[in-house]
Amino acid sequence: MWYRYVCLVVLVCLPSVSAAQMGGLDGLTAGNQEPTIILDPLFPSPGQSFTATVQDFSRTVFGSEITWSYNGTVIEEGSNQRSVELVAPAAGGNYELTAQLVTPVGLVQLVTTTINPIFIDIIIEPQTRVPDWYSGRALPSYASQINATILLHDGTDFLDPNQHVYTWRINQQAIEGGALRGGHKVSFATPRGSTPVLVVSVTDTRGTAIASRAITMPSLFPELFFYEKHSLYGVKNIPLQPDVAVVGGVLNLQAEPYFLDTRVYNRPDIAAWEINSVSTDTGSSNPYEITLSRVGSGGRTLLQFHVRSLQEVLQGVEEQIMISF
Amino acid sequence: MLLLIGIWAFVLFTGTTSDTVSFTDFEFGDTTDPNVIIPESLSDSENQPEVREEANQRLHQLTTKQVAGFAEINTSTNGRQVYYIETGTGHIFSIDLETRNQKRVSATTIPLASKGAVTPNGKHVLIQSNTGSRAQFVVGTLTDGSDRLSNVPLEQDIVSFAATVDNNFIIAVTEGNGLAVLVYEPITDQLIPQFTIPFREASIRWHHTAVGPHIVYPKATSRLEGYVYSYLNGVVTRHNATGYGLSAVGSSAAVIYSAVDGERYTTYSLATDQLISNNTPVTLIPEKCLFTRTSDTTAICGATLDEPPYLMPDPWYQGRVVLNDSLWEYNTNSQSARLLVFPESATGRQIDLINPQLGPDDQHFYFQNKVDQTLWMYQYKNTFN
Repeated sequence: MWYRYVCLVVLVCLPSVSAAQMGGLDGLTAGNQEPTIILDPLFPSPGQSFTATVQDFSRTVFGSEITWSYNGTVIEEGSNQRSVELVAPAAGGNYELTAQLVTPVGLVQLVTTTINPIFIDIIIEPQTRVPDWYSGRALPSYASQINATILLHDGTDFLDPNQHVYTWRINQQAIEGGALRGGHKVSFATPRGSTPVLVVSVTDTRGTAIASRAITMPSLFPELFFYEKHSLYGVKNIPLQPDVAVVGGVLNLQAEPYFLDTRVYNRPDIAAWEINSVSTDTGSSNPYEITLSRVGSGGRTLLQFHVRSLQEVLQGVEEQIMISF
Repeated sequence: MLLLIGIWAFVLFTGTTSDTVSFTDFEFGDTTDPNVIIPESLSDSENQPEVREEANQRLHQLTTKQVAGFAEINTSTNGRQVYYIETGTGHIFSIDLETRNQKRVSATTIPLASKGAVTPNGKHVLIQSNTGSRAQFVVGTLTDGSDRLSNVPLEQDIVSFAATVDNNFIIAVTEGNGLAVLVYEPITDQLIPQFTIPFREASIRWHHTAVGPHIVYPKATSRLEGYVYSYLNGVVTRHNATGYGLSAVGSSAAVIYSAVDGERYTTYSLATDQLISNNTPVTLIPEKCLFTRTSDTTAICGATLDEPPYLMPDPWYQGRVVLNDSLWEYNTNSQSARLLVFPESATGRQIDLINPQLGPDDQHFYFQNKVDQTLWMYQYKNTFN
């Protein structure tokens, strides 16, 4: 009979033992899930508008009076609102954002976060061809290499990259195996798809998140334009129209394949000129140049140029131009 | 039926069927923006000849040759002159701004000269020969009584350079994954480090002093984001200017930048101590702008009033878009812009303005026409001060 009483005691005490191991019954509700302030975007940049929301999985907010204050100033329009719209201060501003919750029974709880915006800049440097005189940036094309750099600026200087840990992902794939201390620069190949997504997260060396950004990048097909080249003045930086009339007897042309992988540009598998659909050996050491001379009384000539890699066939472009001498 | 629709459309757009109205005068160029000041030369046809004449007198084409670099030189002996380096030959010429006489001051040939800078005292030049991986750089010194340059090659991998007011050159060279900025003193042949830029694909708008502020941004493209930094005494400041297709020009007081907003190319001005930008009354490409030396809130810009093409500034860089600029004076404090001259109506020539440069006292605004690389000058008076 005695064991019945033992079982009864065990059954009655078991929940208390479990609750004690978890920090008491309060731990299942408000204890471990205190209200927090969630920001959208998560890391507002200096001067950027953001939304702050009290997130609460307990019952603390229910029926509570909410008073927001930002950098010590009460936000009147935020009275009893779960969310407020704010503007981040200048870099290094360090503004305190507080939501004061007063429950119906008069208990006061302060929920606080600090807004300390920094500039999070991702600089994309595609390793594709643009002309030497071109003042714009090259753009990625499939399989070409991209160098990416993240720069964090706190209003006084760039943050020391060696004091941070960087995790890069391109289309959800980790770059260089995962998190890297001091890894604020990475290189990777342009993946398939027209708009790959690059994500970088930055933490300090203890794992506290300090920045995160995602950007989309273009992935273009190379483009080809023909430019007139003068032996003395170099390349004239206005491209020739698809149908061009030449006054003189000689025309030097340069084919400029924009956004072609520089490795392919330097060692193309195919770099071929055709005149009226007949392959032509230019005799030049530069495969991208050709010199045309008027023959007889002149006429119309269809000039084509084709450059391509045979390993990555999308790394290539061909274009044509009609020339009237 | 078609005839009736045609008459209705004509009356709708012109408001009259009078013979005196031009069919093409739809007045699309009118603006209600109070910040845009159209001078009477454009708004009042009665005054047009006089104002045009004044504009003609102020605007001058200085060369018919292609120019690789230029500077205004002011010496006690020879007065105010412009030195320019001829593209392709590297020959250096002087133009007397009073008499307009031209003289060759250096006959030393630097083949394939493509870019150059001249110190304000007219003693030294830095010339780039050829481009890309074949580029070579030489510092030349001009001596009185000789038309020969004494040259010193610079072995650094230079990506950008300019002359400074103290008669040195400031240069950016590749260093690791970024750029190092140095001052080269031609007299001592010394290179003095200034600061570094943590990426290579940088466009630099040099200040006329070595200390700056120099405006730096990733080379612009409408498909990638750019940011504006300025370097003053080697200290970098990140300005609150971000955007696709971003390029910028700046002073110690303000930054003018353009970026693609939605699908529209838009220009903003930003006081350097502020976070909020203002839209400028005129959309422009910042490469066509320069802040004056006497007022760090006044800039002179080339601008085309037409709607900018899609995906600017890429097609302009590629040369697929050629612009027909007018010269504007823009004040970042008052947010107002004043049309100085429209070269096409003043001279009959269309100008696609590049490489703006001011003389030491802001009296002359120099620029090149991108189409033919010729050198032009506008006699400038600051109307905001």
